[in-house]
Amino acid sequence: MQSADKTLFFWINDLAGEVSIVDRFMRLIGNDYFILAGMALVVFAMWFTGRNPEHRERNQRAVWYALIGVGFACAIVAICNAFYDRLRPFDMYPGDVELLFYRPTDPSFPSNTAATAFAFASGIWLGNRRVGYFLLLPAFLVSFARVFIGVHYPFDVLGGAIIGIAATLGALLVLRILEPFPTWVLNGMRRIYLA
Amino acid sequence: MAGIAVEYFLFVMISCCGVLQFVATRWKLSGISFFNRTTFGYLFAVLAVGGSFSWFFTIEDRCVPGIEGAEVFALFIAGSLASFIITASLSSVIKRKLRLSVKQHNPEEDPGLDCLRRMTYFQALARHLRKKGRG
Repeated sequence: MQSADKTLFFWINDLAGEVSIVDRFMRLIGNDYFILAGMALVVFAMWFTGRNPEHRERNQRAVWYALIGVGFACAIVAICNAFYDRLRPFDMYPGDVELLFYRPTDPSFPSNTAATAFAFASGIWLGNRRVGYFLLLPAFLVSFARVFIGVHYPFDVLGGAIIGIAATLGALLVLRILEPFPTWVLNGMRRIYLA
Repeated sequence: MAGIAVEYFLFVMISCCGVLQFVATRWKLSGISFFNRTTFGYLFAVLAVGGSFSWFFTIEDRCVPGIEGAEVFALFIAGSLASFIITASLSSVIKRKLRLSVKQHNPEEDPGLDCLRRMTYFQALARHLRKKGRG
């Protein structure tokens, strides 16, 4: 498994350093802010979006799934990091990795960025399939870019993606268990014109 | 560290102002829109989002250690709240004339955000507080 991960990593990372504009693009989408901020802006827009109050409420519940899912995903990643410290590829194979990024000091597995991106995408997908599918594209892009720039193995981002999706399903379950509390909060916000 | 936090906050705030103008224009929420013409609404959205992204990602190299995940989340929430307050305040000043339709408006018809199709945020809030005071 580790061997397949290594092979796949070098297959992708060997593409780095070949074409300057591709490297710059990957550095941009693979950094800590670009894609995640863009996805968060889509989630922010979803709160105000809807053909009618029912449609808007579905979108607003999706925003909750996404936000709580991101919170759960980050917590799961932190727990994994406490128990399993996988070295980053550039630490494991110094000199062999084309590193286009700074050297993060936290464990490689799982990828927090991938977990967050997939939690956003799957959370929105639960309430709005069309926008959810659209958000999967940047989630895949940032995951690929993290491997390309040399900071994660493919299995790190795969693990992050699975954690992100599972965390969102956990958020859905928790919000269903907590009913009618989420509905009260939403109705309260609607009364002061915030939802 | 404080520098990037302030820059990130400003980036989020300006982007969210653009996003709010986009949704206000797209879903006809006149009460939080700065403009009467849809073209201007969309143009503002493109300039605010595009401009803030260009500014944030070109003034400095962002592939360096910066703010941590929890701080990024907190700054995003703060920036988006600030953008809503700015948008609600500014549009309330610009769209004072919407008050004419407030008198004819029955808030029961438009619950929540739909109310902002006919009145500004602060008009809606004042109406809610008056109603609560009476009842």
